[in-house]
Amino acid sequence: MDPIERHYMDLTRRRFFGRCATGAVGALGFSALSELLAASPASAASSTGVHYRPKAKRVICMHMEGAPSQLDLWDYKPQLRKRFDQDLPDSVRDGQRLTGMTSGQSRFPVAPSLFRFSRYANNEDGVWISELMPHTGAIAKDLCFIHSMHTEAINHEPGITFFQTGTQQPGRPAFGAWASYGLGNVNANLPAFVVLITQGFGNMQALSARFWGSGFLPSEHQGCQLRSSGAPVLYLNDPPGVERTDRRRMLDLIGAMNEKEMARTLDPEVQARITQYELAYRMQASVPDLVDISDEDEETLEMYGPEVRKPGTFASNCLLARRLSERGVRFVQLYMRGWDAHGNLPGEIRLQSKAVDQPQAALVKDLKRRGLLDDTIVIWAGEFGRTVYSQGALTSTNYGRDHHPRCFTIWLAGGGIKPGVSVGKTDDYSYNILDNPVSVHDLHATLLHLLGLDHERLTYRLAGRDHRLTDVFGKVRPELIA
Amino acid sequence: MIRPLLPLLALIALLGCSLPLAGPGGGESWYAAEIAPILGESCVSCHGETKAKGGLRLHTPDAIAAGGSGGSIFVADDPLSMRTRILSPEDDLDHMPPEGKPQLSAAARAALVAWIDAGASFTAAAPGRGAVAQGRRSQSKPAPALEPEARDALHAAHVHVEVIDPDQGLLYIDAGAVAALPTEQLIDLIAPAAASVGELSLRGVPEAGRILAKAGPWPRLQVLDLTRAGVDRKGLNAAARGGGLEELLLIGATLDEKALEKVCAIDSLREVHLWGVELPEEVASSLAERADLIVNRGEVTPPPAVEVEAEFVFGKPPVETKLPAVNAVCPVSGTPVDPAFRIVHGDEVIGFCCPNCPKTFWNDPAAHPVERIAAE
Repeated sequence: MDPIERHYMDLTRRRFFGRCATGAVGALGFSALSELLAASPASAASSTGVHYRPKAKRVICMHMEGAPSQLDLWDYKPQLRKRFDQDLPDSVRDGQRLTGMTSGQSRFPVAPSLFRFSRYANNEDGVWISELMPHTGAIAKDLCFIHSMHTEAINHEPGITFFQTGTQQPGRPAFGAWASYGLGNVNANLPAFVVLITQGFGNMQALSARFWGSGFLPSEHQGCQLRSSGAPVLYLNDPPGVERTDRRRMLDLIGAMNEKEMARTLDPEVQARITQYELAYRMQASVPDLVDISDEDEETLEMYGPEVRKPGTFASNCLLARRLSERGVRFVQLYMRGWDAHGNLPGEIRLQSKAVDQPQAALVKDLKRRGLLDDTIVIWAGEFGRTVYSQGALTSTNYGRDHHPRCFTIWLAGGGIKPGVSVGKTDDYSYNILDNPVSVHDLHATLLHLLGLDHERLTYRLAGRDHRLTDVFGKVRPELIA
Repeated sequence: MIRPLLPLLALIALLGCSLPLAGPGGGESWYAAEIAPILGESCVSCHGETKAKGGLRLHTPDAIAAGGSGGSIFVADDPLSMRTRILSPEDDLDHMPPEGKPQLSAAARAALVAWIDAGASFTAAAPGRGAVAQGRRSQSKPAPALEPEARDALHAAHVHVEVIDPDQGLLYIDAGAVAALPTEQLIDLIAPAAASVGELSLRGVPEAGRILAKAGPWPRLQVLDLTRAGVDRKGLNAAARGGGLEELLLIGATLDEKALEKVCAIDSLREVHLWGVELPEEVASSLAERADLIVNRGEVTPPPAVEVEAEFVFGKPPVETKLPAVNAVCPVSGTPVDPAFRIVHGDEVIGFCCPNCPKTFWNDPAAHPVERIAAE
């Protein structure tokens, strides 16, 4: 919004709040504050609204933190079996930079995948998927594989930051925050952007809260992490002895004080703080109901696999993701940690895949039978891919793989995504993209498009510039759209 | 040079508005029927026969194809292309028509963009409506705007309301988060918006049927979510009366046989979700009879793989040396040679019994004379 225009709006709001604060402090009763807020045009909806009719209303993004190996899961290269331990031709690597972890290696021996692949029917001539992902293979008809994703970053921190925020430098709003800013919240009792984290079995990297930060957007758009042990949301429960009515009175008084502060400073963060307090108050009632899965039937729980009752597992978080989507939460961000297999890849990827395969397939199936897949976009992706050459020793039972930004595989489902297709092709070594490269910006532009948002028009003015999730890049990719 | 842009963009533009399109198969081209009149109205006073600002004339196909002093006006992604200029914000320096001059209507702009995206042909016919209006039906008359008081009342009660189609003014209303509100209150809240509602969620609302019957009519309702809600025939009648109801979610809903019969009779319906609803056989069969209807009953039967990769040995492939060993007995141990263990020594291939012997041999070849097989 134009800063001058915003200033005028805030002035109007200041008068409004000024009047309320003097006349109504004593009379502010239950939910009176939220009614006042709702009546104020500035706070009623801080979203921009859609630019055109959306195909999807919400997103579930499963981020495989650490970057899973495309070669061992999705990108089938049977001809590599004959090139075991041969040197990766220089013409393929073509002088590409390497990480410090393998740049000192004397040779780059080709490590084919140890795992057998199977072909599953989709809406083309089938798609080859590793034996590690049988449940996901069985839903191939609903999935859109992109074998030609590429990214700019070669290390985890900038890689995840780029994938989540559209830039490698930290500090920009996450995709989920942009979605919340663009579309607003459907369920006033829950945040629009929720984050769920699962600890992995393999090598794990740091996972910072800034990956779901709101950057320069109003802070009500930041992701809210639900924890798996203890209280799902930190500091949400009232301390012993504090009744809900006490809390209400306290919030009303703080609200009145914050309004004065708002009138005095015109700081939008004060407004965000008022909104957040009210949301937290409502979440005290809505979160226990959300995480209580006793109303799920046996058959559903079974579908998500044996770990579904154990909080914090990927199965449990997938089920929660469905429950959140069902309640209208715009953006659910799942993190599965532990895919960073520099060494001992076969062992680690077996455990990692076992933890995600059945739950993620169940999530897609569950959304579908509930009629939610039509308008929910499901994303499965790491921050980059892994190298075809082995990091460290290559033996007949073991190998490792380094980071590889030039190509990796992700899949999408639902929400207007073209089902049952594969997009893009990599070379024989899964090293370079041959056909249809899809950048992270293209992915963001396409997903925003499906949400009814034009990535060139979803902007936030800061320091004299209209900022976008896609910066100055990104193209909507019709081959991904149904 | 004309580089067609993504056909998808054309689709968006066309979906978003009501275009007076030329009928398919009609003699007149898209350009003649629709584009030329828009250009005539909004552009040729500055870019025409008499004036040619920027060297550009837009009054004939030849003049348009010739472009302006900067070349073609149809270069994809060029910031000075016609498409970019008409889509840019009005206060942009490159925006056309210039700020302050009469602007293109939304429909005219969308038509121009669609035409450019389709290749800016002067001869092609306009795309038919059917090719464009996939799925959701587009209403010709925009929905009435929601009164601010009604909107504020919905917000205050935490009933979600959102403009879901800015061109048609369609609303998406979701009362799922406040399903426990008294029925009468929900009716009062939703009724003022009913004429504009395109998508409605009464997820989990116990008396959803009554709300549908009382808060209507619903002339623009297309998608109705009644998951776990209480539904009756009257309510469904009211919801379907507008004639545009395309998708109905009844997952785990409470509804009787009469209501289910009504579901079968909604002609406009294209998709119905019925997982968790017990269907009497007659209802199931009459639903199955409707070829145009996608019925989701929640069956989950994962198909097996079509093909499984053959087993393979992971590791170094065995070395295929065509030359046989010159000896039949290991020079170190004196036992028979295993063809798997051969080395090249001098200009001969020498065989051994096991992988350990070659090392002993190398240490002192003279100490291990090789017994060569006599040449035939």
